[in-house]
Amino acid sequence: LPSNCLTMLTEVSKNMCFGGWQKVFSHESSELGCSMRFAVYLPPQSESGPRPALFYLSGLTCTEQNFITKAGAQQYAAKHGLIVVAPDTSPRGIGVPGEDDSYDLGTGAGFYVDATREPWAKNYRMHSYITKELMKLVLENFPVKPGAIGITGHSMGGHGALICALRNPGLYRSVSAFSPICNPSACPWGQKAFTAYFGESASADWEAHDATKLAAGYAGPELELLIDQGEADEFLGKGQLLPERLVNACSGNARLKTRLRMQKDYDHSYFFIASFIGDHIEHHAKALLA
Amino acid sequence: LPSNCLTMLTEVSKNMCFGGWQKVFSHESSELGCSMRFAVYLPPQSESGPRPALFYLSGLTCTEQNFITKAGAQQYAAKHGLIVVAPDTSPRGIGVPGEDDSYDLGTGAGFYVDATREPWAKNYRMHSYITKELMKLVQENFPVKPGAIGITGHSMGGHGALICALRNPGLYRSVSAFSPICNPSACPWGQKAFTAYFGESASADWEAHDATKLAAGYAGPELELLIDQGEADEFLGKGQLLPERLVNACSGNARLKTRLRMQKDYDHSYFFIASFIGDHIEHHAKALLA
Repeated sequence: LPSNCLTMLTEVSKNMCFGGWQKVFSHESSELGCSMRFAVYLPPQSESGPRPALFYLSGLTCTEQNFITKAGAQQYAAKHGLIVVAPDTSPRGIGVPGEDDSYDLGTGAGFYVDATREPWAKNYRMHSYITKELMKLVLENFPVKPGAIGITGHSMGGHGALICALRNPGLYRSVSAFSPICNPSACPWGQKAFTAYFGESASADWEAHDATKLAAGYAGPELELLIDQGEADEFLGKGQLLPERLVNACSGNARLKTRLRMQKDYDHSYFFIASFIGDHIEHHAKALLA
Repeated sequence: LPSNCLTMLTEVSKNMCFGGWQKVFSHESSELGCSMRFAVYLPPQSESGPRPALFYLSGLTCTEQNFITKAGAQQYAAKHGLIVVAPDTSPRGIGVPGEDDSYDLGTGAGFYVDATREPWAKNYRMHSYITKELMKLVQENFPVKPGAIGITGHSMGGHGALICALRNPGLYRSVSAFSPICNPSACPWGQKAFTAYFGESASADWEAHDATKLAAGYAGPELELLIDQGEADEFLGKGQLLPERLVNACSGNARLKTRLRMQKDYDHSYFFIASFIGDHIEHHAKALLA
């Protein structure tokens, strides 16, 4: 580690995969006030020089393990020479009452926001964790080419990727998502989380963390949002995802192109992610290697 | 299901993946005397006609889930149009005293043999399950091209693939293995299992289920055994795998070619399997589509 690295990383595991290293690290997070793990795939090309990086944000109930074991991304990361970072989905072991009561709030369900309402506000700061603390940690500890960073994710993590990009113009050069929660203010998952994290009446906070609401006002560099959505996804039918609303919202903003691909017979699972992760990594590689 | 199908299959799950269907079925096994699950990947080409099939046998502690979620095989199965069958690793819930006491004996550790010693002999019949009952079930229920069947596996499943092929000349046209247990009679894992399943002094049974011992006497059709072995595999160092002994044993039999590839820095994990599964599926496809 560089001698100016103020935050200690502990390597938890490493496994060679497609000629590169799939590693997991832990560190003490100041934003979240707990130990956190994150995964990093270092492609073989990273031995020779800086590489672009792609952040992958996971969905409800996931840890840093699901993506690295189930998505089959390393093959494509090695092909294009991308570093891939997969964080966890919430702080762990904080002890907020109710944080383990349901799969869609609290543990494993941070929604990539900084909560403003107690008892969540002190520790549930996943937005700052991803866009500030982890971003800095990764840039300082791995051979990432500055400015060549993309973001993607699945479901709650798709929502995370979209709002991290839209709220931080220029931070990510490329964006994509797998079956994202596009309009959390208007779906059961988002309404439950935002009520807890922001409060029922904090409408400004709700809008400021909703990709569909952020689209109109986005004034950053042009982005092409590649979105894959399974047509047989049970959550699509339940109104949790609402991709057409995001597409509509973006259609009024010349800086935001959307490429929504509806995939017949595909569902919400990692079998779906694995089937299209190659296309997404190629999408990011094109933008980040240009 | 065809009307002459005497054994009922229940579909447990199905997910579209790389344009084909990853399915899981359950059935009542007569060999094992319990309900068993197995996974089948049906590539898109199987909608149009019969396809070759590849059996993948998993290692200690696995179920039918590990391979289908972690190995990334579907991409290659779809590319070559192979049906891939992934069974479980032992009978389940039999209630043999001690069957859940350790990870390397009993549940999840059937070793792909028909036990001859009680209390295992009644139900622990994984050899007949794989080579007779499941083979028949798969051929009757899925569009498998007769005679175009290969077998592979990992660790205990690598041992399983090797002995299923060597004990049943002509049943499998192609064979490969990932970090297999090559000489179970001579390693701690094998000695523990064979002592329980066959008895300490049943040396004929031990030899008859040990690939290294079977090699000299194999008189079936020519086979090329592709074997990948990680050099950083902790079990290699612990003397559990012994691939060089199998290679030596095969060198005296012109019908058995071995292609052992030692892979620097790779370990025993699914990250290793995922990195080389494409090569193995190509190996089988070449033989089975010829």
